[in-house]
Amino acid sequence: MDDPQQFEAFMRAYQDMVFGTAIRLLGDFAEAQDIAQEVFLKAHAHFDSLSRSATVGGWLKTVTRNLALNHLTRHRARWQTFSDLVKPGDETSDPVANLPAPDLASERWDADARHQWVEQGLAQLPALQRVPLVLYHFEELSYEAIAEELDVSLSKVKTDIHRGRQALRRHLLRAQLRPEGMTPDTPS
Amino acid sequence: MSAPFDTPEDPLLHEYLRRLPAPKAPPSLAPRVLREIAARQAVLPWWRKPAADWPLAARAGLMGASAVVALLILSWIERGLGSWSSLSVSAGAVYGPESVLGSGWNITRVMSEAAATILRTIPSTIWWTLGVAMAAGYLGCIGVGGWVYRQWAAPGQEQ
Repeated sequence: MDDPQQFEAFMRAYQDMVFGTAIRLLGDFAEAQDIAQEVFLKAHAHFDSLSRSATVGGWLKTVTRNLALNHLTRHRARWQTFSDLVKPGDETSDPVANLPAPDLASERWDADARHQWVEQGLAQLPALQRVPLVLYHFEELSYEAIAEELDVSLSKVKTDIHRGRQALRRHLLRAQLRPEGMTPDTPS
Repeated sequence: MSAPFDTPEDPLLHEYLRRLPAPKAPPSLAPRVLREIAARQAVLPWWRKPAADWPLAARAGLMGASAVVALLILSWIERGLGSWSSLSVSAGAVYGPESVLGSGWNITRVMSEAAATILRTIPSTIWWTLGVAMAAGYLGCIGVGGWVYRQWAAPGQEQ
């Protein structure tokens, strides 16, 4: 890498995608920053070829996902123990219920605030629900691919995604956000 | 609201989430990465850095060594052409011109002398031109190899 300015421009072009993928999977700001830094250090090592590649976005996304999942795997024992404690129909386990209700009357309840509300809801989901949900809805992996990636059964993936969706749906409804007939950029 | 989310794939929620913009990276991320890169490069020994970043003495040494190697190769080629014809002459003398081996050596000697004579008549500028052409071809191969690597094996192709 001979031109730091070129790499900096490259980094600024992709940093939201890399950081966004990391924070959605990890749900933690500091950890997502660490992962994003690691991704860009790897990109820097391969920058000569990456800067000319048409698939650089895919490469960055894949590396981010793999590093984030590896990071989560290190805490996997704790993660699985908690997942086993969550029983179907356990309403007290709603992970997003503790977030304060949004001030919908506020002038600041604009598109950015709504996006932030959704991201907060995602971050509040337990990892066992958030990770497969993000892999499915944002990374567009199939149930089978997620099961393989996370080394869990297909039925567990479906169950966890279903619970995650239910929790996220409740979270959206608290802010009167209804996905039907609207996009995240249009007022509800 | 209930029905739209009851389908297995939740198409509306899926579409909604897919359209969400990626969360913004903190402004501190890029400077942090650049600082880390600079810190890592600072602790690298000079020979692991790109040649353009080597100390002046090291770069001069590399150039000098390359020139010596090139001169050695050129002189070796030049001496090889002369020794080949003299080797053929001595073999013919040992085995005698009538023996099979001697005849073989004689043929070889005549051919090698003819080749050496022809080669000596070629002006040195042509040799230099050939050398440059070979070097260009070699560098061209490196270029093609690099292009092939980038197309099929570079990290940018990994998914």
